[in-house]
Amino acid sequence: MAKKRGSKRSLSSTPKGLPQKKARVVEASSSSHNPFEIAKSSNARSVKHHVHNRHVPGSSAPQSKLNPHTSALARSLKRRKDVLRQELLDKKKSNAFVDKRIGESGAAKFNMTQEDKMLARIVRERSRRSKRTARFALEDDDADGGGMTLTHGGKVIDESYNPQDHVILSDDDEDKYSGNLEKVDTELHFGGGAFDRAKRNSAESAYGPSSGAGGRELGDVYRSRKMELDEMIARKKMEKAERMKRKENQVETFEEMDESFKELASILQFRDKEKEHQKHAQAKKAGMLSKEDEEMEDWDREMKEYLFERKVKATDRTKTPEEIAQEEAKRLQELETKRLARMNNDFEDDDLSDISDDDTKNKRQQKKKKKRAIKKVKSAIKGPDELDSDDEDEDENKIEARFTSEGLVYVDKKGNIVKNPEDESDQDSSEETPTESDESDAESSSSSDEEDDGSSSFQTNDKSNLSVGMKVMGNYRLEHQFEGRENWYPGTISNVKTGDDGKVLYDVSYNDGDFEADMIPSNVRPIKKEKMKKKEAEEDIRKKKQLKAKVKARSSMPFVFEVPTTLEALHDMIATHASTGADASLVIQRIYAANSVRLNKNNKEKMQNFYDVLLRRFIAVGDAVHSSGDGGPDLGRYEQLNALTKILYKMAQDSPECAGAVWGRRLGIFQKALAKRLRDSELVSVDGCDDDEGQHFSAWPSTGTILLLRALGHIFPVTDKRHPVVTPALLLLGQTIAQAPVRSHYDLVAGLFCSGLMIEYTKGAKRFPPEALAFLAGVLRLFSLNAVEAASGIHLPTLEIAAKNPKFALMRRSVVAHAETSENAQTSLTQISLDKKMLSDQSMPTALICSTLKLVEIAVSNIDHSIGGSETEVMLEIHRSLLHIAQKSKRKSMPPIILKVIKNSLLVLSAGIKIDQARLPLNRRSGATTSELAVKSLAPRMEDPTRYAMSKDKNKSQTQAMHDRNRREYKREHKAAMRELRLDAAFIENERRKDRDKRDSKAREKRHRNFAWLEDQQAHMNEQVRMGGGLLSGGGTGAARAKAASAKLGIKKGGKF
Amino acid sequence: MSSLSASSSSAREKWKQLKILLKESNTNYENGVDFHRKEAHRFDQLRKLFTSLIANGELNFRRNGNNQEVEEEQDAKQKWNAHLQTQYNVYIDQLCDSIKHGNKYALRSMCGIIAVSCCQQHQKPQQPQEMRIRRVDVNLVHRMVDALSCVQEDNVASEMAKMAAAEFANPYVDGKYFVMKSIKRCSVEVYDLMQSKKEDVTVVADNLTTLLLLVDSIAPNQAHLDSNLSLLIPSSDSANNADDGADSTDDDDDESDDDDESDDDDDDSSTISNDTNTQSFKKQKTSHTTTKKKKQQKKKISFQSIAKFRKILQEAWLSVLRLPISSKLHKRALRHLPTNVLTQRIPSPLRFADFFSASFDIGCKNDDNDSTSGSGSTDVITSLLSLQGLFHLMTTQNLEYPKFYTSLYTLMSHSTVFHVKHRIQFCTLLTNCLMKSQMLPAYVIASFCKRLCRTCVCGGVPPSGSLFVLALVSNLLRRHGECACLVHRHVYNKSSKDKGNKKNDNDDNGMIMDVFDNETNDPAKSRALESSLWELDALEKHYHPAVSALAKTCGTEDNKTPPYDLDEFLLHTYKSLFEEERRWGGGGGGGGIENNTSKKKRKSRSVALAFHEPKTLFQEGDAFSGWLSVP
Repeated sequence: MAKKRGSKRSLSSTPKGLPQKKARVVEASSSSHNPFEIAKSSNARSVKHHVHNRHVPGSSAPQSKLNPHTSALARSLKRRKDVLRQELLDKKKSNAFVDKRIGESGAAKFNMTQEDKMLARIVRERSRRSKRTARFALEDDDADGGGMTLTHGGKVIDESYNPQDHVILSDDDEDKYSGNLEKVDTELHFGGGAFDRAKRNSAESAYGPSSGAGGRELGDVYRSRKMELDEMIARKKMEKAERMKRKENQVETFEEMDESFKELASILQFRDKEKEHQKHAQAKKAGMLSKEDEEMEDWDREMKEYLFERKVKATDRTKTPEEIAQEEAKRLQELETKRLARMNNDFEDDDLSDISDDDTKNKRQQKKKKKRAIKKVKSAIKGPDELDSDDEDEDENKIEARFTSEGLVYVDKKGNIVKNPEDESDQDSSEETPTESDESDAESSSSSDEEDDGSSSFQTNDKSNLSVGMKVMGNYRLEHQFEGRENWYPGTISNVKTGDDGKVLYDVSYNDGDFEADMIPSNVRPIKKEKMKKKEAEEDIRKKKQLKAKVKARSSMPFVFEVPTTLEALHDMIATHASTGADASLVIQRIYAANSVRLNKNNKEKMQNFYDVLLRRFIAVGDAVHSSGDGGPDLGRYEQLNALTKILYKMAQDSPECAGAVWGRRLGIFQKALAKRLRDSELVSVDGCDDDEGQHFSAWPSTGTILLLRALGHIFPVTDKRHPVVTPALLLLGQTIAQAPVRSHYDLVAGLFCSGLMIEYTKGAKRFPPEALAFLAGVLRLFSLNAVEAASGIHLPTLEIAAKNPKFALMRRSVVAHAETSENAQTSLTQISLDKKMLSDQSMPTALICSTLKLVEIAVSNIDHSIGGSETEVMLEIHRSLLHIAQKSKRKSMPPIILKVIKNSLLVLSAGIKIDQARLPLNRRSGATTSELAVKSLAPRMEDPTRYAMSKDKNKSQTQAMHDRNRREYKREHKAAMRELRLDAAFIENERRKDRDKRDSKAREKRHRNFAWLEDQQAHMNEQVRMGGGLLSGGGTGAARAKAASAKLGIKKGGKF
Repeated sequence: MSSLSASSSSAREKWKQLKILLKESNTNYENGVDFHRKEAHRFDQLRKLFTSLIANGELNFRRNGNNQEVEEEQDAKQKWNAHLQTQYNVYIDQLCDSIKHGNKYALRSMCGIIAVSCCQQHQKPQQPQEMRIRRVDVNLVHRMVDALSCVQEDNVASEMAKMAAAEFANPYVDGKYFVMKSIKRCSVEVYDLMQSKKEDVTVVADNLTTLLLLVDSIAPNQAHLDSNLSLLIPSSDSANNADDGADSTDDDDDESDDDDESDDDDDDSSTISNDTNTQSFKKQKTSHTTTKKKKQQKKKISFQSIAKFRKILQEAWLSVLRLPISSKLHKRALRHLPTNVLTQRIPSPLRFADFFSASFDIGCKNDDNDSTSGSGSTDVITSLLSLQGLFHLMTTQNLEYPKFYTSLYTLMSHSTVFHVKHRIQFCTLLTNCLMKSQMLPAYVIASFCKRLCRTCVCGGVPPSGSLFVLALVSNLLRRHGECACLVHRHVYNKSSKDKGNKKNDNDDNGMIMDVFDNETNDPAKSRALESSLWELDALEKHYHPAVSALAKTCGTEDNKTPPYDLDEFLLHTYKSLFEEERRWGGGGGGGGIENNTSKKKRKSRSVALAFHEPKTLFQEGDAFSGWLSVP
């Protein structure tokens, strides 16, 4: 159906939906005006008094004056026809050439001389290019179709132009003849008689006697004018001549001066500036510089600085983390393959640059001794986490150095070759470059030495054993060289001859193409032997190096590791490859570098698992810190923790989601563990009676856990208001502080640590942790004079238990006792450490109170001014607790140094918070607006009947009305734009169809003609056949002819035969 | 006579048997498992023997007076009976001894004996056998309870009590009744002992309380009481058919007995004020008369009346609570009473008011006097629980307790309230007291708001508590418009508001002093209305995002926003908040596998990371520098 309908429609018809009336409208507008359209356009408010330049709403653009009667639609159609049509026509035409040159067409072709043509053209071109022309083009080209319009007196000359309205001659010109010869001529020619005079009289009557030629005859005027002009021309000519003359003079003087300057310049050039400089320098030294010079000095200095400022070259773009990881992994991979190759005696493409050849055996022995000593120390202090590794170390302690085929090798009891732990420290891969350069220097120096040796020995050798074609080193033109400098270049002997005095002379052609004849033997030496020697030496060194490299490769730590899946696996790895804490960190570092998520997305799962392993490793190391301290420089547990923190940070950066998930899970485990410990603690001892059990059991998390939480603050931002990891961690800490009962000194330390963590976490965002502050206040209370006081200020259940514990009741006393017994405590303040040894120390209570006070100070400095007006409330308890413990009593008052600290804390506190000071009260409710406050008016809204208008916005408020108006306007404009575009499209489509029609009709016509001819021919043929064979006789050959002859031939059966 | 001779021969055997069995008890008690097994067997044998004797009628229980008369008659049978009775008493003594040592088998045997040896001593001899009503022997039960109360070890005692309650008291209505009755009797005795000899009776008191706590407070309903099913010794059909006279006499007898005991009670209870006692007596009397009428129609035994049950329940509790019980049991009792006892329509619940108010005073005064014996948190809980009981009495029984709000206010200063296990009860109590009444004066509300917020800020209250407090304060401020000055104080209107105390407000540009006095425990003197809720500002800076957000909105809501549903805020704990935060992050709280699957389903939130790479674990200038020695 659709097809049928489609076929029905001819090509020329416009598609459905397009406005069809357009063409008709155009015609109508050209012939007569559509009354409706006129009515529509005159819908605009009629104007009573026309004021120039005032825009009348509803009236169209100024060019509507051009045809006031046509409607907007008609105008737009016209514009379309003029512009769009033209554009359409020109759209695909590139070769339409219109000769617009002046004087090439029409009458001008014959009238203008060549010169005139050129002049006219250049004038046109200039005016076209001039920018000033556009400035005064008031009407935009678009509107009037880009064409020129004729105007008169600023008004368009059009069909609407009525010449009667316009007076050509406006005689109110005051200087009507000024410089206008033609006008004068016209007046002269067309009778200046009475008419003119009358006019002049009238002018005189209006403005009085005019100046100048007012009363004279026109002829006089003309004559005087001519004379004036002649004079003027003459004057001008003279001026011109003078100018020319002056110019010539000037040129001459310039030339003269130029020549004299050359002389001057030649003098200037060789002036001695040195003296001046010296003078200047002396003056400067003496400080006698003039002010101007000083300024200049500064300027110069600055300039110099700028000159010598390092010019930063634009580097390549910064590498992405992926690329950096890639490079690092690649580097390690290369090192590892090299290492493996060395271990397998494979020294191809190995320059051995990182092996130095100068370390001697006794050096090694020295080292070894040192190492043994260290090991002894280490076995004395041993952490539980490194236990296995240390065990192996002890086994390794019994290794002995042996020289085998592979060089110096360390062999343990079983006869296995083991790694040499000593080399690790100086074999760090990062130290490659300096050794390399050293060795190259050494090599070069040694080779040059040998060279010298060779040359000296060679002089004693017989001199005649050089023959033609030998490769030699020649001392190039010794006699020409400055101060006997020797330049040895390689070359070949081209000729051997004997000189006058019986000496053998050589002609040497150098490799670089130079030639030298008659060289004495001392200046020529063969290179073969030297090379041989050098090679031997190199080989020697090389072999040594290879051996060493092999040993080193065996002993050194692998560069590439697999990812361990469990903590045990990691510990095994560390035990086999590392002996110090730094090594362990290095192992972890390398595991990370070789398996980073940045390298391969598939590593994600492995690394997520590894992340958890690392967290557990962190906890293990942290617990070891508690149980056996830092562990000396070898173990360096704190350093390990630092390294772990860094790695954790980096891995988190690689894949934040993984890190978040792992940390979240870990926190969940912590939370569950805490809940379990809390349950257990209720069973272990209710009132802290059974101390034996209570000592061992602690509801507080282990040191490692707390340290891990410290690391958490480095990895995730603690300033976020809500963070998926940090907020739970804070809650966990809060719960720990609030609920885990304090039974021992360790618990107190852990509590302080947790409070510190909470304070640290909330520091950045200036928030406050109530649990931590209450805990601090409670801890301070523990140091108060008696138990009653202690109990009164404690708010947390954790410390209530402690307050009842007799162990803590003696805290104040033990502080005092400690201060009395040890001298150290009276002068300096003790710090808390995480070590277990600390807990049983005498100074523990002192350290506790000092730390608490310090933490209070830190907390105060954080809270200070961050909370609106309520620092007082926040710090009230701490303040009261401080006051309590600062109380003096006869026997048990605090030692002076502690009192000083307390006072200091109090000072800080009172400086930070303003207790008993007036504050601004809260002002939270938003004040009532005036409309709310106003008495509700129930009067009806009246309309002014005098100002009645049929407006759509009648009953609306002002803003609403404006809004609606704007919306309407926008809608209208939108619609108009749409309509314009639609019309444009329709027009274009229409035109296209028309063109196509035109084109098609031509072809169709031709085709029709051809068909007609063909049909005509066929008709003829048919007619002839119908007529019978007679007309067709006389053609054909053979059988056909015979048939034709027999007259049986016929094209149609129905022929008349 | 043949029967008699036969019986005498069997009696001789039994006598021998008895002798053997009773003799073995003399061995000492420290012989381990084997001994206990033997003992258990022996007790069981004896029980069987006596059961058969009682069933035969050879062992007969009479009233003492009657017995003496019989002895005079010197009848052989009666002599045998008397002898058996003495043996029986020896056996009971042995059982009680064993119970005192905490042997469960003894208790079980005791229960068995109680079950068979029904008491007929109240019956008059002239009545025919069939007409007599069999019921549980009160004396035996009393002895059992007495023995139970003497168990020294805490755990064993509680287990024994549990067993007694589960196997004897709770399944049988009459068992329960008589257990309660004997508890009352025991506690009266113990109280006498304490008063006269100043002995430490805490253990006994504790045991009695434990037993009473374990016993179900009351029988389900009257119908249940009427049926024979739940009786230890089912009353015979004849009992139901017995004529009015017999029943009424029985009742009278019982009543007189009861009255006697209550008289005793009256004499003993010197602490209980006389006024309430007499009042309650009057009430009891009236209730008795009414019940009597009913009973005459329905013909019931004493323990089958629900009113009697209620009465004995109340008396048992009252007598026990006079004793000095340990704080733990005290709290348990406090918790038990309002829900289980006071709701049982006991005759005079107001008699418990004194107990509650006294225990509140224990809670709040102790931390001034001696902090060693009663720790803070436990005291707070005691006070809290007693307040709850008081509240129950006030609302249901029209108790007048003018100090109530003051007490509650006092309690709030302890921030431990928000940490303890019973915080939910406290919070509900607060909600009920503050939110349900429109009539509270503004100063009370203001004081409460101020102190609640102050506690949140200063006392290390957990975020869950802070959330609840903020929601409550927000609701209160909206409900009581006159407290709006706490959150909004116009600088210009200030002078007119604070006319009374211009001396303190010596400020110029709208600054005011904080005149709120947190030390006083009287809301009327705290001057909270003249202060402002600055604590909200502090809580805005709380580390928990929800608290911070809630504090920010608190006081800024307009009247149209619906009040918070406080029940939602009750259930938060550290753990729930923790889980919620983790869930928010998309972590999920489950294990490994669950976690993975759930993560895939849930859109996990991207985790923000710190952008300063740490150089060391402890950095210069963090909160640890200066007090923690780190190399």
